[in-house]
Amino acid sequence: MPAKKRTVRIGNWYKSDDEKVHFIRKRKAPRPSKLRKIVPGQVLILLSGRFQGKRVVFLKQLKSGLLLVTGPFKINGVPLKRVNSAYVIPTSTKVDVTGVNATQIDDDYFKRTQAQRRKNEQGFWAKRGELTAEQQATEKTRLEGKRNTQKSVDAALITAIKKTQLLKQYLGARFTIGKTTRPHELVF
Amino acid sequence: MFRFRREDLYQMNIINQYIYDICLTSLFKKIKRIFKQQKKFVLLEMVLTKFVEVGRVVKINYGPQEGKLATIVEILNDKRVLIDGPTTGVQRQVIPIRRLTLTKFNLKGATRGARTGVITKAIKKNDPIAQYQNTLAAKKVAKKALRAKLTDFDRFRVMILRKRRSALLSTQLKALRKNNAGGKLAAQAKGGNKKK
Repeated sequence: MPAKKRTVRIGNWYKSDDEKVHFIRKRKAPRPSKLRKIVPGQVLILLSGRFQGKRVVFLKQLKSGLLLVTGPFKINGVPLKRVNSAYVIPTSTKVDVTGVNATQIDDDYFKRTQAQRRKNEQGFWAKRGELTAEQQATEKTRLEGKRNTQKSVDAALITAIKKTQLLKQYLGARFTIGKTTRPHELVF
Repeated sequence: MFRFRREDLYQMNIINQYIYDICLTSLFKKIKRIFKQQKKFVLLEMVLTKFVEVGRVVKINYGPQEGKLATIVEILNDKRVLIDGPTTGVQRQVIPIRRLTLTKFNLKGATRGARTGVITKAIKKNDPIAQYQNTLAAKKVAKKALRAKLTDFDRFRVMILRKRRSALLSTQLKALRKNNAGGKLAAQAKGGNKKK
């Protein structure tokens, strides 16, 4: 008779006291978060990070669950960026994004390259010159590519934005809270 | 100006009669004129003008029907009334007077204990609720409600428009000041910018 398959796993590794167990992520692939009624073309207000308070245009949700947004760069300096939907206020203003082609962009677009990692590895005192000439050249072309992608995605957006009065200025301004604003009463 | 007590006015009335009897018509006319003025003055002196009465249009201050208008149909005691607001969605109900604000409008044709149909007919003839919406108080409430509904983009637009209007006004004011150097400034007409 074949041995009954053990249903309970018995470990053969017993931890000693002074070993710290680091957080082990059980789920390998990120689960895309459910989008709470955010529509492509909607203006979002970023709540954290370098671009706090900036109003940006939402393009699409990436596989990782993060939201792909863009300033557009020319208008408020926010590039193509991934943003966590928890740190965002969706407003009711929508921009027409039918002409915008952001299908090429996915999570890999934002992955750090070897050269970048090497630069980060070297630490605080690392200078650009630390990269080899070949790496510098690839970096240059990579950045050029990014600039072009940004331009091509933003071009259609900016023409759509220009159609509405004051929308360009609106996206260029930051959202602020003053002494008398009551955020819980504001309608976005 | 003269300040006469009510007793004095009665006295004046008596004097009126007496003088009339003597047929001093010109003096009588003068006194009558004074009496009329005083009577008017006395009427203006009345501090309380809005009464809880049948037909009074009221605004509900408290409860689920807050902010709606209705008409007083019957007075039950010194604290409760029966109101009805068929055109404003207020069901016929007994409500404490404490929960109401009296408006200065009266519904003509409302009789004591009138049924909803009668009230509706009276409103159709002469709508005091529409008149109320034109008052400053109602407009302020409407403005506040509109402002609460503004979206983020709307608030931004309002801010920009207010700035523009202010800039326009200041340039106008400067020009006026220049022209009227030393004289009195005329009242400014507000610009035509749309402001919520």
